[in-house]
Amino acid sequence: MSNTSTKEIVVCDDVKKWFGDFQALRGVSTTVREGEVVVIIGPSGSGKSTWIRCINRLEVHQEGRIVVDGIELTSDVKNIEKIRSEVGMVFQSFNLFPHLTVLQNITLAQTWVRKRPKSEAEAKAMSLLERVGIPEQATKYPGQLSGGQQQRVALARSLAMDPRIMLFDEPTSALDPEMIKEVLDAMKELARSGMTMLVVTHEMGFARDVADRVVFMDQGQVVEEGTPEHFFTDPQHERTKLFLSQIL
Amino acid sequence: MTSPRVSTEMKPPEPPPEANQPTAVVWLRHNLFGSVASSIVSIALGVAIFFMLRGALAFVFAEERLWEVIPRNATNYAIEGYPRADIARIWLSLDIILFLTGVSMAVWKPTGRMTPDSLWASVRSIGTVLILVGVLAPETFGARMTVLILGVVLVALALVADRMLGVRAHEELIPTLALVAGGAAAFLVVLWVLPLERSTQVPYTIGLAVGLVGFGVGKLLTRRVASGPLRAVVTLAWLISLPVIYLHIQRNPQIRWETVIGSWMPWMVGILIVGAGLIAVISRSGRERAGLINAFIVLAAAGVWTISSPMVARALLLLLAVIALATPTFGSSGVGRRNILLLWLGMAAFVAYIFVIGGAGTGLQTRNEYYGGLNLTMMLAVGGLLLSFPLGVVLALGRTSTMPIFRLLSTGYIEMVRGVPLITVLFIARFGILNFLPENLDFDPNVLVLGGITLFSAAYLAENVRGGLQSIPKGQYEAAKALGMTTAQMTMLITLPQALRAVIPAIVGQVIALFKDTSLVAIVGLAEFFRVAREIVPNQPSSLGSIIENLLFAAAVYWIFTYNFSRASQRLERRLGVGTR
Repeated sequence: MSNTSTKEIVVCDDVKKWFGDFQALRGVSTTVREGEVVVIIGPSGSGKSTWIRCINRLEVHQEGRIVVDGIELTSDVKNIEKIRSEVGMVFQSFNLFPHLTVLQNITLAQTWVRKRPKSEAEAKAMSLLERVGIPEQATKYPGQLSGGQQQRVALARSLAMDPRIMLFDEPTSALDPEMIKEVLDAMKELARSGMTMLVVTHEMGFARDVADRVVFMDQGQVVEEGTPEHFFTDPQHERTKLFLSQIL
Repeated sequence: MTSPRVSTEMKPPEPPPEANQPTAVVWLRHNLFGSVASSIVSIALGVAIFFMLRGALAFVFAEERLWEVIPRNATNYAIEGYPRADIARIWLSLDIILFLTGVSMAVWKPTGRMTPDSLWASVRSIGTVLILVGVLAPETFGARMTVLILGVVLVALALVADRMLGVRAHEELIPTLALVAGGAAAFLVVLWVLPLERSTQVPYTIGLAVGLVGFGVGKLLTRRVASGPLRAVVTLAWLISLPVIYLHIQRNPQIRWETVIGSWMPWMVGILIVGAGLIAVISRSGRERAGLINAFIVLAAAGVWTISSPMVARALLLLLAVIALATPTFGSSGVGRRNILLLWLGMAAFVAYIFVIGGAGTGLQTRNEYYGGLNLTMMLAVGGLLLSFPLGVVLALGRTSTMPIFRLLSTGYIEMVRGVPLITVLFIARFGILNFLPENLDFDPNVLVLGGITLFSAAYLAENVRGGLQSIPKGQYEAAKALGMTTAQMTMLITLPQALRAVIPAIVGQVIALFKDTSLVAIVGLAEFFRVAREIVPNQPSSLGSIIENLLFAAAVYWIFTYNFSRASQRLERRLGVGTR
C-alpha cells in the first residue's frame, strides 16, 4: 500500500533458531517499515511461521537480533508483555477462549492488560465486531460459530488491543473455501487502513492484491523478496520459479 | 452423456420421522431374547437375581432383626456426644443452613428435569418395587399384605394418571420449587402424624419455617439487587457460614477479651490499616516501586516470626504478603484497585475473627469430643473439601510452574503425601503435630484431624487439577501470551478455569472418596457417623446384637449422599458445558 512511512518498525538481522538439532532459521535478515504489508510465502517447513512467531517471542531465537518498535528482544526484556500487547497475532487454529463468549473474548485482555473500564472495552469490542461484520454473534460462545466467524472474532480480539503490528500465521488454512473470502476481505480492509502486517499465507491472490512486498522462504532462509509485480511476473531464483510453477 | 440437472426449487427442512415407542413384547424380543444364547443368559441371570433378592429380603425382614434401634438412636447418629444441654446450638446451625438454602433457591431458581410423565413413572417404579417386596418377602414378615396392597394401589394410580395426562406431559417441567415444597409438606405430615421422636417436632417445624422465610428474603433481594453481585454475596455467606457454625455456634467459645483487646488488638488494627495503605500505594506505583514495597512486606512477614508476637499477627502479615504480591497484576485498574482493597479488608477481618474464636476455649460441658455423628462427618467432609480445594490448585500450579523451587516443593509434597496411608496422616495430625508446635498453642482435636484430611486430600486434588491443566491446548497459552497477558493473568483467566471444568468428574470422584474416608477418623478417637454405627449403638446394653442392622443403615446413608454428589456433578457438567468445543 502507498501509505508506508520510512520508520523501521521490525528489524531482523541474521536470526537463527534451532529445534533440537534441526535448524529452523538459518539467518533471516529483513526490515519492515511502518504501514507496510509483507506477505511471506514458501513451502511447508521453510521456517515462515517460526520466523513470525519469533517477532512476538512465542518462539525464542538463539542467534541474531530482532528489534520490534525500537526494543531489542533478548532474554532480559523485562516487559515482554508490553511488547506483545503492541503486536497482535492471528493463528491458523483461531485459539479463541472456549469458556468465554465472543464479547468476553474481545474485552478480556482490554480490561486486564490495557486496564480499560468495562464499558469502554465493550463499546470497542462491539465496534470491532461491526467492522468484521458479525455484531449479532456477540453473546454466543466460540463453539457455536463457523470457522470463518471464529477467525474474524480472533482478528477483532487482536485489534481491540490497538496493536501497532499484526502478525498472521496462515489465517485461512483451516477454513472452507467460502469462508476464506470473508476473512481475507477483513484483512484487506485492515491493510487499507494502514496497519503494519506480516502475513504467512498460501493465498497468492491476497499476496498479489494487497502486499507491498513478498518474501519467499525456503529451508529457513529468505530466497527472494520483492514487489508482487516482480515476484509474480519476473522471479529470478530457480527455487522461486519452481515453487510458482507448481502452485499457479 | 447425461444432460445437466438443475433443481428448480430448494427443499424446505422437514421434521424428523416419528419414532414410535416399541411395545413390551417387541422390546423383550429385541433386548432379552434376541437369540438362543441371550435367552439362556437372560433366564439364568433372572433366576439368579430372583434368589438374591429373596435372600436379601429374607434377611432384612427376618423376625430377629432389631431395626427399631435405629430410630431410637437417631440423635446419636446425628450428633453423638454433643452435650444435650446445648442442643439448641445444633438446631440453630440447621436453621442457618435452611435459611441459606431458602435464599439460594430464590436467587438461583433451579430448574429441574422432572416432568409429570417422569413423576408418575417413578411412582409406578416404587409401586412395582413394593409389589416385588410383598411377593418375595418371607412369610414371617407381618406387614406383607400391607406392602403388597400399597404397591398395587401406587401402580394403578400411576397407570390411571398416565392415561389422563396430555401429550405435553413430557414437555412441561414440574418446578423444582413445587417438588421441594411437596417434600417439606410430606416431611411435616410424617413428623406430626407418625409416632416418632416427639422432641424434634417443634425444632424441625421452626427450621422449615426459617427456610420459607429465607426463600421470601431471597425473592425480595432478587427484585432489588442485580443477580451477579447477589449470587456472589450468597456464595460468600455459604462459605462464611461453615466456620461460623462449627467454630462459633457449636463450640461456644469463651473469648478472653483482656488478651484479645490488650495484646492482639494493636497488631490487628495496625496491620489492617497499614496493609490497606500499602496496597493502595502499590496499585498506583510502577513496577520498580511496587517490587520494592513487596520485598519489604515479604521481609516483614518472615521477620515477625522471629520476634515475640501473637499468631494472629503472623497470619495477617502472611495474608498481606500474598495479596500485595497479586496487586500489581490484578489491582492496578480502577475497579481492580477497589476489589483488591475490599479483598484485603474482608479476608483480614475474617482471619482475625477465626483466630479470636479459634484461640478461645469452648464453653461446652465436655472438653474434647463434643462433635460427633453425622454432624462431625459433614464438618470433616465439607470443611476438608473447601480447604483442600485452594491448596490443591496451588500445588497443581506449583507443579506445572516453570520456577524450579515451586516445582520441587509441590512435587515433593504431593509425592510424599500420596505415598502415605491416610491413617498415618490422621495419627500424625492428631497426636504427632502437637509435639512440634509451641506449648501455648492448644488446638482442638477436631481441627487437627480436619487439617490432616485437608493436607491429604489436597495432594490428590492437585494431581487431578494438573491433569486438567495439561489438557489445555498449547494454542490457548499462545493466544493469551500474544495478547500481552502476564503468566498470572493467563493462569487465572484462561487456563485454570478451563482446566477445572475439564476435571469435574475426577474432582467429584475425589469428593466421594473424601466423604467416605472420613469414617477413618474413628481410629484416632473421634465419634463420627460410621463409628456410631459400628461401635457406639451396637454396644448399648439395649441394642446388643444389632451390628448388622446398624452397618446396613450406615451403608444406605453413605450411598444416598454419594449418589446425590454424582447426580449434582452431572448437572454441573451439563451447565458448564455451554459452548465448549
